[in-house]
Amino acid sequence: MTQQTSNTQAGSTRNSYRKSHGGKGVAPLFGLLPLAVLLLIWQIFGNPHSVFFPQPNRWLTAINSLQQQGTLWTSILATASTFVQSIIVATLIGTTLGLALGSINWGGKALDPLLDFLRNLPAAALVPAAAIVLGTNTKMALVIVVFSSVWPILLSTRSAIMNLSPVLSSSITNLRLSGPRRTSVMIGSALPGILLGVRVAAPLALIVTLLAEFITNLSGVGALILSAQQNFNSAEVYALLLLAGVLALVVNSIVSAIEASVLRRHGPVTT
Amino acid sequence: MSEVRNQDEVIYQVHDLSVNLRRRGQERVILKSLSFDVRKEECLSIVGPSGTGKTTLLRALAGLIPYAGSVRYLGETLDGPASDVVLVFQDYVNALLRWRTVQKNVALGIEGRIPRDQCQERIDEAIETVGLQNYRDSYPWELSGGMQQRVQIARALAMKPKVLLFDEPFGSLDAMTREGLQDELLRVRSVFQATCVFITHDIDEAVYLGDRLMLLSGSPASLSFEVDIHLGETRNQISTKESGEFLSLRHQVHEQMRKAHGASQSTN
Ligand SMILES: Nc1ncnc2c1ncn2[C@@H]1O[C@H](COP(=O)(O)OP(=O)(O)OP(=O)(O)O)[C@@H](O)[C@H]1O
Ligand SMILES: [Mg+2]
Repeated sequence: MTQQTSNTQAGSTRNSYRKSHGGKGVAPLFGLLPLAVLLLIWQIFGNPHSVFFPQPNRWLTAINSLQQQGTLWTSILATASTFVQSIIVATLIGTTLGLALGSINWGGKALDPLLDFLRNLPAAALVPAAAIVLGTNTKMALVIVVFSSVWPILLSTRSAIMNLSPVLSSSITNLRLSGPRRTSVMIGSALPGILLGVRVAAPLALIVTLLAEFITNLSGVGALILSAQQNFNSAEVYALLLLAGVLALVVNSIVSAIEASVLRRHGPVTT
Repeated sequence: MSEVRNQDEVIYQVHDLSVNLRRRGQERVILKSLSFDVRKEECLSIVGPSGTGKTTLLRALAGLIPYAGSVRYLGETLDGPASDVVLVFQDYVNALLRWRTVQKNVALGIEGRIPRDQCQERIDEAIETVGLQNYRDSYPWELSGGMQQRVQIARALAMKPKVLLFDEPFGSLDAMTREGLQDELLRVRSVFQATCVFITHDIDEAVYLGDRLMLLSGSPASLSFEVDIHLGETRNQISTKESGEFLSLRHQVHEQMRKAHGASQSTN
């Protein structure tokens, strides 16, 4: 499943994305069928001695030996932990800044060139700079991941706040809501937009987490891939690639489930 | 002495009110030199064609937009959102919070401001007044348009406001629902003694609900006609609307509206 990071895309996808949750229980797994068939064909017709294209059964062996060494689960946990922490921090920061920028009446439009510049900085290019400043550690990975995944949330929140109905804004003022109560009403109304941002940000955060581990050799699935490649262990490379794919799928369905349950109270999408 | 009492009877004193609005850098005079009073516990109907500036006038009375001239609310110059004044919008979908149940929507204006048990009492009372006691825990999007508008009215009533400002509240509802809600509004008004300003472009509705009627017309908009309505306390959709008084008022307002329209066309 691909997601556009573009902010303008966010508005137009909003109408369809919640509907698509309808048959999500079966659809993604069923949709994986071609991949399963491909792997099966690979298994049957592949060359058992190929160095570059090892058959899938050898991938399993490779994964198994990783598990026996004890590195598999600790790596998955390390990756998951970086990912989860980052996406939470990115959501908090993105929502706060988006809310602030969306609330000022010029919408922070003057800052657009800066925001565009920052969000288009490639994560890979940030790693060396962050490594110099923070050293090669998990904190640095967190910073990189948060920095790369905060933008979709920020922009989506900002546009949701800017597009709040004038009737709602008038109601808020007329009922003299202020402080936390006012903020909570605004966040509630912007929630579909905020969650759309999170949905776009989550796969991005996972990619950058792997990338950070890959480049810096911090422990994690990314680092496993790197060492497998350095050892010319092609079966392990493929196995870990598959694992990364599975992680992405899991992330996606968790985010979708959270989104669906949070937005249940919002009812069907109108407009 | 008599002046003091007079002050008490008047909720709004509007003198020479003008409003300019700016859109895409262009400033336009929307309201020009309006002067009128809103008296305590009356229902003042304001009719006018679409786009004249009725909503703008209500927003000015609620203290939501800057204006020129003088608006005195309860004797004091209005600058900023007026307290104890609640707007009821036509667009109930956006006025309500879709993720809150009926009860929680009704609570919006009072929660955290008065003690909890008192708050719940007021919520229950308001919900019962509009007849939604079986829908306390429903979400707005589960209700019909008329019921959603009732929720918005209950939200306003729960605040026990001094003034209710209605902006074409029944404009997007079908005729049957609309008549039902009009009668409900009359009934609510006999229970909660609030002052109302009721804006609509439906002449029948304006006459049926009002104690007094003003016509807003022209561009920029000004007040061109005012009439007292003596239809009594209890009104009935069928008999009241067939009464001679109703028909003659309706006739006058129509005529005035046509005149105002002709005048504004010839000046443009
Ligand atoms: N923010 C704004 N800036 C400039 N012009 C505005 C603005 N809001 C409304 N107007 C204009 O002011 C005029 C009056 O608008 P208003 O909404 O008060 O009319 P209305 O009588 O309530 O109309 P309707 O019956 O359609 O609700 C309209 O011509 C509208 O285009
Ligand atoms: Mg209007």
